[in-house]
Amino acid sequence: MLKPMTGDTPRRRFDKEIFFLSLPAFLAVIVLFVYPFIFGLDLSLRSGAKGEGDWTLNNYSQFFNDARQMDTIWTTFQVALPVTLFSVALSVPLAYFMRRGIKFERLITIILILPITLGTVMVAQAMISYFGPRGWFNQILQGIGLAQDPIRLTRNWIGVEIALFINGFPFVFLMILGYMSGISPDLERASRMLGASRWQTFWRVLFPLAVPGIAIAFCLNFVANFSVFPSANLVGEPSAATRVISIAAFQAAYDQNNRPLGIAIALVMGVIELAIIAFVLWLRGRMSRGATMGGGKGA
Amino acid sequence: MEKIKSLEMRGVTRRFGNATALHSFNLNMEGGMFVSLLGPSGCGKSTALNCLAGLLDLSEGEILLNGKPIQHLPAEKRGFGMVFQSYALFPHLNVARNVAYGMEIRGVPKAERERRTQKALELVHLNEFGKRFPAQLSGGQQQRLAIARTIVLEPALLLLDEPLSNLDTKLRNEMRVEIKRLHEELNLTTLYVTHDQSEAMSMSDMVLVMRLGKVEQLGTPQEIYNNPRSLYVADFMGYVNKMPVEITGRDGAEWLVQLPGQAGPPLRARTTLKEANWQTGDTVLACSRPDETLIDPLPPYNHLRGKVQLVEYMGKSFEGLVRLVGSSQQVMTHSQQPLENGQDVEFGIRSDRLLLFSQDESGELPPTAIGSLSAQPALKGQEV
Repeated sequence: MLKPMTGDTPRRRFDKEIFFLSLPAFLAVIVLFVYPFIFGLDLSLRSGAKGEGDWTLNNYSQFFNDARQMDTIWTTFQVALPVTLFSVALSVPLAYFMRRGIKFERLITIILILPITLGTVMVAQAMISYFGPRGWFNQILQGIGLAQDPIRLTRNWIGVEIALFINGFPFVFLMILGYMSGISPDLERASRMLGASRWQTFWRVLFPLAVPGIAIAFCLNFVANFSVFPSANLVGEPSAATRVISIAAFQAAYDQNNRPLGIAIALVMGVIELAIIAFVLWLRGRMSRGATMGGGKGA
Repeated sequence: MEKIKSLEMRGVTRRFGNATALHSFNLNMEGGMFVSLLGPSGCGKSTALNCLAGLLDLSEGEILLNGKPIQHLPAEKRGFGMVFQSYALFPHLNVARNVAYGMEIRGVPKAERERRTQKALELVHLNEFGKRFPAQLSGGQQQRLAIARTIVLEPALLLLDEPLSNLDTKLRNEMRVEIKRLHEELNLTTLYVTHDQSEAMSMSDMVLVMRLGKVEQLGTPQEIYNNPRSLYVADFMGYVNKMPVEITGRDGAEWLVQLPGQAGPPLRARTTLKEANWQTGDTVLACSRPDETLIDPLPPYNHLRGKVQLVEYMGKSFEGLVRLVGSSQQVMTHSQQPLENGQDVEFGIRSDRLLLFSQDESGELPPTAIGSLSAQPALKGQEV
């Protein structure tokens, strides 16, 4: 996701101004991304724990041959995929109803953005107090008789899902809302004048045109959720149900002091994320070829 | 779809908050008619169209199709077709699928769908373009596609919302002929919304001129053109010359008026106002169109003299801004012969083409009007 938008298509000649204007961005990307990436790749291919020795695939085979490590991939999917799908599935109908603006829109937007500004650690801390066994949420449930015993909503899979949802949903929703409200209302009117009900209009016009935006929102949110670390530690069960791949990488690098292995695991995580993004974008391309041609916002 | 024998909008009112966009709007149409709603932006013509289409709810009033009220029906149940100013083509569907869209919704079998799609595309000369996407078409082609997509469903009523305003002049004239041809060929009942009087004139059986949410005048194009009932309509129909004159008398149906500072016999004029009880000495506005304010050929009477200030070459004729002798009044005139700046000329206006209106109305001229030329002599020149 950090790939820079480098220059223009080859039909343009070399342009000095554009070259110098984009130079700072280029340098930043090289210094902050390309160099560390190559450095890490090199480190992950070394045999010694301090990064010395010859090139070898030992670290990778160590990861893939250890069932406990391999399991983290599946665990991470179990943590990341449901909450991403839920956020997207909830955002699409909500964005549909809010696409022409509603009352208190500004207030709702502020409430949605607030968790983003707080950061994951603060949200996790708040969740422990609020959703914990003796938190308000359980006290209310017990108080009105909906639950006999406290329901466990933290220190397990559910806790991580709630935390990821609070942090990720606003992004997904606002992105999809922006996309939906950008679709010309004339297209909906035209569809209705051609005999389509609101339901048909949604599925035949609005949804196909929003697919590119939905796909991007899904990708960004999925990548964020797949690389979850603080929430999985603080409100999850980091030794079992939420032992995600980033925890495996952290433990390898800092508990076992084997940084090459830790980096190898992190790179595996990156490759999986890229594969998912490639798959979703491929799917998007198949679904909406014409939409991207027309700019997606209605001719 | 049910064929239209009669369509009536009765007392249709639409309010947006405190603003009334459409006020007690009445319209009576017979099947097969071509009716235009004409007016500047904000006059309520699009509101009227959207109310009829079902895209806007009415605040008051009713819509009767063949005598049955339909105002409670949603847009998709009315069986009307609409062409939008923005064309509103579906960018994710190719040309053929855009045309087939309404038939897919209605569950028309595939074979028939394809046959009708092909026929509709032939009708608008787009049969070669079925596989393209809307973004790959030119403006005129997009417009024709928007029309094909609508008429393929054989709608009871075709609604056109400023369909030509995004096209250049040449295409606009072509599409005008095209729309008229389709109307005749398919015998479609059509309601056309425009702010362009020449479009309304050239295509319609009937024109409604609208102003501030109300109908200002209703009539055939000839009636509206020749007998505008108010200064507002006159302005909209191209009566650019407005000269304050003084009433000096009457001669049967004709009024005798005198321009201040002008010697010679009084001018003969008429009025289209129903109640004109002006007295001698009253000041009224005499209005004429530039192409009926002639230097050459010179009409036999109603002559005035002046000096040419500015000349525009119009192709077959010349248009000259003339300042009257002994006054600051300026008048747009036409001539078959070349004119020159500074030339002294004599021009005339036939008495039935010189229309009188009360002055008090002039404060509410539409924003599109050029206004009194004497106040802004440079304006016309800048436009050249």
